[in-house]
Amino acid sequence: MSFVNTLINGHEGGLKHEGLTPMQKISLRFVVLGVLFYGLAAVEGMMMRVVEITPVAAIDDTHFFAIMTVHPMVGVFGSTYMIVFGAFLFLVPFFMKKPIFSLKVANASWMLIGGGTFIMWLAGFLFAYSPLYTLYWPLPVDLEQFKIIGGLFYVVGVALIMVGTFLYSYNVFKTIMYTPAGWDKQPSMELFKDAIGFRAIGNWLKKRKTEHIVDLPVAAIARGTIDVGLNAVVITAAGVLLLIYMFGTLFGVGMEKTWVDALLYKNIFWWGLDLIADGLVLIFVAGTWYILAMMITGKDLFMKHVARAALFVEMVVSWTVWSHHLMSDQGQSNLLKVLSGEMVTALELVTQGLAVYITLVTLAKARPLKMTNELKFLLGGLLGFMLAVPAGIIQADLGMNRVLHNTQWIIGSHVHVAILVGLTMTLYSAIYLLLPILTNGAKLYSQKLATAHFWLHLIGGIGMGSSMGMAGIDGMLRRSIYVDGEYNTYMVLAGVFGCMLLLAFALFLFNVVMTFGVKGLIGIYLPAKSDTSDCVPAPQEA
Amino acid sequence: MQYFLIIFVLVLAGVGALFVLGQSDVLLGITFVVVIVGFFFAVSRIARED
Amino acid sequence: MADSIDVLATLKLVYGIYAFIAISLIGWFGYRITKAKDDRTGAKPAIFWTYVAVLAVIGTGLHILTYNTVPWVPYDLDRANIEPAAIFDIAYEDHQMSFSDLPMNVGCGEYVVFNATSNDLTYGFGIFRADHTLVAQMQVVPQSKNDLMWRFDKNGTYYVRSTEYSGPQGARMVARDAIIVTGCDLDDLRATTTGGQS
Repeated sequence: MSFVNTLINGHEGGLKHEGLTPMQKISLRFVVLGVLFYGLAAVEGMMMRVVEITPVAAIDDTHFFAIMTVHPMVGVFGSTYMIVFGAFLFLVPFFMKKPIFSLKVANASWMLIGGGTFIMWLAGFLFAYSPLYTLYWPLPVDLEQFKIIGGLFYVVGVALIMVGTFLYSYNVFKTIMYTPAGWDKQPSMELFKDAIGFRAIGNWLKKRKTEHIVDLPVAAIARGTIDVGLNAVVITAAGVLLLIYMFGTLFGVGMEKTWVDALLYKNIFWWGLDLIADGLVLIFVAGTWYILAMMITGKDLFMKHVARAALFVEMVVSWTVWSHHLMSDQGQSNLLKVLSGEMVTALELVTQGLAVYITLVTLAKARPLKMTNELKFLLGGLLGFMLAVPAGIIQADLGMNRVLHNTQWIIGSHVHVAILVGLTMTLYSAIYLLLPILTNGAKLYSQKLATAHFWLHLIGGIGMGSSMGMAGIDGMLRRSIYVDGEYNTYMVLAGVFGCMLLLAFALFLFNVVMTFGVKGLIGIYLPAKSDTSDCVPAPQEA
Repeated sequence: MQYFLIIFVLVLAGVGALFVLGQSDVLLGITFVVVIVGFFFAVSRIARED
Repeated sequence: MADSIDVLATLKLVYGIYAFIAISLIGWFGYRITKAKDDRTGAKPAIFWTYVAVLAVIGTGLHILTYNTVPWVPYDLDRANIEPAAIFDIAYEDHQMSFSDLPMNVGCGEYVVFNATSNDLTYGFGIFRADHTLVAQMQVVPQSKNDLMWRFDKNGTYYVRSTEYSGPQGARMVARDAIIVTGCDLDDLRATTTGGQS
C-alpha cells in the first residue's frame, strides 16, 4: 500500500469507524483530543526550553510567562483529564457490564472540556494573560499587568472545563448507582457505599465480612472521582472570585483586594489542587496499574483487599496534605506545617509504594510475560513514580524545603518526572492495551515506532527531569528568567532531552494516524451508525 | 439534579469562605470538612434519584 | 555547621544512588519478567508488610532526621521564642524591594530576622551566593507575617532575589550585595562581592 493510501485509509483497513459503538466513539473522541492537547503542551514546553537556554527575540518575558500559564492547564485538563475521562467513561460500564447512564452527557463532557481548554489557551495566546496556574492572590486580578479580556477568557475557559468535569463525575456515579431500563432495581445506596469504601468500613467495625458488589477497578475510579469533584468545587470557587473582581472593575465598583486574605486563598487553592496532584492522580494511577496488571496477566491482583483499602486511605490522605505547599510561608502555623505538610504527606510514600509493590508482584507471579507495548509503558510508569514520589517527600520537609522551594528541583525532579514519566507512560500503557478493544482490532502500523516512542519518552522524561533537578540543587529558580547563561549546561541538557520527548510524541502521533487513517480519525467524530448501549459490538454470527 | 444544586451551594460557600475567613486553622479545617461532607451528601443524592 | 551546600550535596548523592537503584531494579525486573518463573516473586505477606513498615519509617524518619541534623529547622520552628540580634525590614511593592538597611550587616553566629512585608502581590525573599546557589528563602505574602530567622556561620556577601512569580514585571527582582556577614573564622568561598548579576 502506498504511503498516501495508508495515511488516508489506515493500516490494513485502518479504523473501521462505521462499526464503532457510541461508547467506543465517545472514548476515542476524548482520547484523540487529549493526545492532541498533549502535543500542544509539548510544543509549548519546548518553546520554554529554548528560552531557558538563551533569550529569544520572538518570545519576550510576557509571552514566556503566558506560555507558562497555559502549559500546565493544557497538559492537566486538556490532555490528562480528557484521556482519563475517556478511558473511565468506557471502563465503568465495561467492568460493571451495565450501560452508561447518558451518552449525551458523556459527549457534552468532551466538548466542554475540549472547548474550555481551547478558550482558556486563547487567554494566553491572544491576550498574554499570565498569572500562572497557581493564580496567587491577587495576581490574577492585577489589571495593571494583565488585560481584563485575558482574564475573562481564562475564567470562562476554566468554567467550561469545570462544567464538563462535573458532568463527567455525575455520569460516573450515576452509572454505578442507577437502574437501567428493564433491569431489576439496583441497590443504589449499597453500590455507592461499596464503591467509596464506607461499606467495608462499616462491616469492619461490626466485625462482618464484606462481599464486594463493586469491582476493584470501579472502586478506584469512584474514589478518584470524589477528588475530581472536590477539586472542581475549589477551582470553580476561585474562578467565581476572579469574575467578581473583574466585573467589579468593569462596572467601576470599588473592590479592595485585601478583602480576601492572600494566605487563606493559598491554603484553599492548594487544598483543592492537591486533590488533583496528591489525590486523583495517585488514586487513578494506582487503579490503572491494577487494571493493567490484571488485564496483562489475566490474573487476580496480589493483596487485592489491601490494594482496595489503600485507595480509600489515599483518598482521605489527599484531603489533609496541602500544607506541604506552604512550608516556606512563614504565616502558616507550625502545627499545619509539621502535621499536614510533613507527617501525613509522608504516608503517600506508603500508599504509592505499596501500589508499586502490588503491581510488580502481580506481574511477577504471572511470568513469563511477553514484553508488549503496554507492559513496557507500565514499567515506565511505575519507575516514574518510584523516582518522583520520594523527590516529593524530600521537598515536603521543613529542612529541605527551605533550600528547594520554588527551585527547578520541584518542577523537574518531582513534577515533570511524575507527570511525564509516571502518569503519561501509565496512560500510554492504557492506550496501547485498550486500542484493540476500542477499535475492534485496528492493527498498529509500526511496532518499531512504538518501541522508539517508548525509549525516547522514557530517557527524555527522566533526562529532562534530572537536568532540571540538578539545576535546582544549584539554585536555579522556577518561574524565573536567566539571561547570563548561569545554568546553560543543565538547560542545554534539558533541551536535548525535551527534544527527545517531543520526537517521541511525534512518532506516536504518526503511528496512530497511520494506524487509523485520516478517514478513521475524522470518522470518530461522526455520529455512530448504531445506537447500542453496549461498550463493544456483539460478536458476529459465524 | 440535587447533585448539581448542592455543588452550586458548595461553590458559593467556598467563595464566601474566601471573603469571610481569616488566618484561622480551625475555621479552615471546618471549611474543608463542610465541603467534603457536603460533596458526599451530593453524591448520595444520586443514589436517591432512582 | 552545615549549610545549604552541605545539605544539597548530600541530597544529590543520596537521591542519585537511590535513582540508580530504582532504574536498575525496574530494568532487571523488565528483563526477568520475560523469563520462566521461579519461586521468588516477593509474594509472601510477611515481606509485603515489612516493606510497608520500612516505607512508613523512612517517610516519617526523614523529618526526625532533618530536625536533628539540619541546623535551621529547630530555630525556624522556635523563632517566636528566640531573641534576634537584629531585625531587617524589607518592603515589597510594585515589583521593588526596599530595605531598612542596605547592606544588611550580620555578625557571625547571630540570630537575625529578615522581616518582609508586601503591600500588593505575593513575592519571595531568597538569599543567594555569588555562584547563584541558594542559602535560604521564604514566601512574602501580603497581609501576612513573613519572618525568616537565620544564622550565618561563614563570612560572605549575598544577594537577594525574589523567589516567587509576581507577574512578568517581577521576573528579575534582584538586590546586589544585600547581606554582608563578618566575624567568622570561615569564609563562604561561594559568596563574594561579585554576586547578584541580574
